[in-house]
Amino acid sequence: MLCEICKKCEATIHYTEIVHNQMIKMHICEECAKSKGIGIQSPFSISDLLSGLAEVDQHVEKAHDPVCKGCGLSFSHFRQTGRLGCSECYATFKVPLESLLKTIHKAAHHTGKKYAKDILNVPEKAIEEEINLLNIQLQNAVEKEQYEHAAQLRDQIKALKTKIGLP
Amino acid sequence: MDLNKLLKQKNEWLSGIGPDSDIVISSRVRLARNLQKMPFPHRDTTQDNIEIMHAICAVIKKSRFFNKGTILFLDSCSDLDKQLLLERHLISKELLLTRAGSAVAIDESLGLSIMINEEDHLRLQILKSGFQLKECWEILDAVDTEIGNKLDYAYTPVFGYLTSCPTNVGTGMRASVMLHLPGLVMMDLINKVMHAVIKLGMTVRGFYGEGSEFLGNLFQISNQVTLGKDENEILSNIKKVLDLVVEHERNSRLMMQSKNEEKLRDQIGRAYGILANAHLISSKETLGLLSALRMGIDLKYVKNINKRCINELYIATQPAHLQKQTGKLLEPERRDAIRAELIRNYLHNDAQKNKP
Ligand SMILES: [Zn+2]
Ligand SMILES: [Zn+2]
Repeated sequence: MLCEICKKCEATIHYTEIVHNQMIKMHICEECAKSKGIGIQSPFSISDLLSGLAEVDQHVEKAHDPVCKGCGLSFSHFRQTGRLGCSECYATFKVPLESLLKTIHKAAHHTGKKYAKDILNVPEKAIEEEINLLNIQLQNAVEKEQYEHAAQLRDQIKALKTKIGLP
Repeated sequence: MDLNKLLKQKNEWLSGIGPDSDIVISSRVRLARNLQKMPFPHRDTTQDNIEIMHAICAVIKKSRFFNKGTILFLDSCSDLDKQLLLERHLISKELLLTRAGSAVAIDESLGLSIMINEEDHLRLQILKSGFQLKECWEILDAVDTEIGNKLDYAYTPVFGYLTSCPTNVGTGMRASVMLHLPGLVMMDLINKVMHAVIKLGMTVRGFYGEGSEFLGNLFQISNQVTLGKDENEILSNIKKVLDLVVEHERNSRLMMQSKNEEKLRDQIGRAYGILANAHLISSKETLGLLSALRMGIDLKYVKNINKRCINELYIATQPAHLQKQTGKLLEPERRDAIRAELIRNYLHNDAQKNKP
């Protein structure tokens, strides 16, 4: 589909504009969208992703296309589809991915909910700290009478204690 | 088939109650999770996907939260049933197309649905009425913890929960609110406000997600970023943006009332009149008129209709729901007649119920 404004480029942005209670479907190209700055559109157009990936190219040597051992996905194939193949892809393509993630999320490190099972892989001292933290959460849960949550926390604490040999 | 039972169930998220429910129709939080060492669904063989599906279903069935739930395998659902699930916001468009090895676990009393082998191995979501993102997250957090204890999630401390698409990695969380904004549309302020919303890092979509039109003055706002912020930060950011939109919408409604109240009352009265008496009505016209009627209820111009009735009509008048109710495939013209009849009945019954 051609852009409805310049009628030259391929339309890659599709949005609905509301003018005087009328909804008008617009199909325009990136250039025209930028120059007009109009309409309701997702801030994540494909071009955002690809411009992120253009920077990525600096990290990936030409003629060297890494392939993930976990699923066989090549980096160039990821570039085409925007989809990763398995959890190991994140390790295989770590360097270029970090730069892409900075473009998308303005950050490259997770700060949200931790995965309880993953804690089992960290050193003893950190586990002790985590147990203390979980104990506080447990007290809270009991006070608020959230018994199901409390039961889960107890399971987690028990698992952690077993791991570092505490009773 | 359990789907018929599903149809008759009252879902909490359509109740029309809850904080800010004059503007916020519903709240939804969704988490993306994957299993370690297994390729993501689109890279897997069908056989692997089927095995993964059964393993995940077994865990869900045994879990504490899933009491009265139903598990549906997508390859044994008819196209009509799948469309029905989509209209109820229980599955996504992606699941309409997937091959064998996809399923959905539904517990509508909780507002919970878990999609298995969509873009990711697991997509868990909670839907609630009005502005209740925090409540959604609290339930989902517990569900996720329990399932996560029994499965091996793909997770690293640096990237968080690993997802098929890098736009979901980290928390894997997408939180969204469905908003009804007739005031902003009628006052021609919607573009301005939505620009601000997007600048503040949110995505704007229509009633049925990506690529759907903004019919019925319904807008869905969700977070863009999933990495580098924790779940509570993401939710409080949406709350900030939402407060701004709600304030502007309320102001717009006040402005319309003070500028020309008669005209506004007339528009709402006419919308009610058509909905209560029409014999042929399209889906598009329905959504537009329901929008006016819903605003009439909010402004207390219309007192004998409940918001739940309007919310349920949004879903009940969709094509697959109409077909399921009549039990046969309908030509578009017949559909418009059946739809009109359904709306007349809904409104009539609700008005009877609310008689003083
Ligand atoms: Zn153009
Ligand atoms: Zn891989």
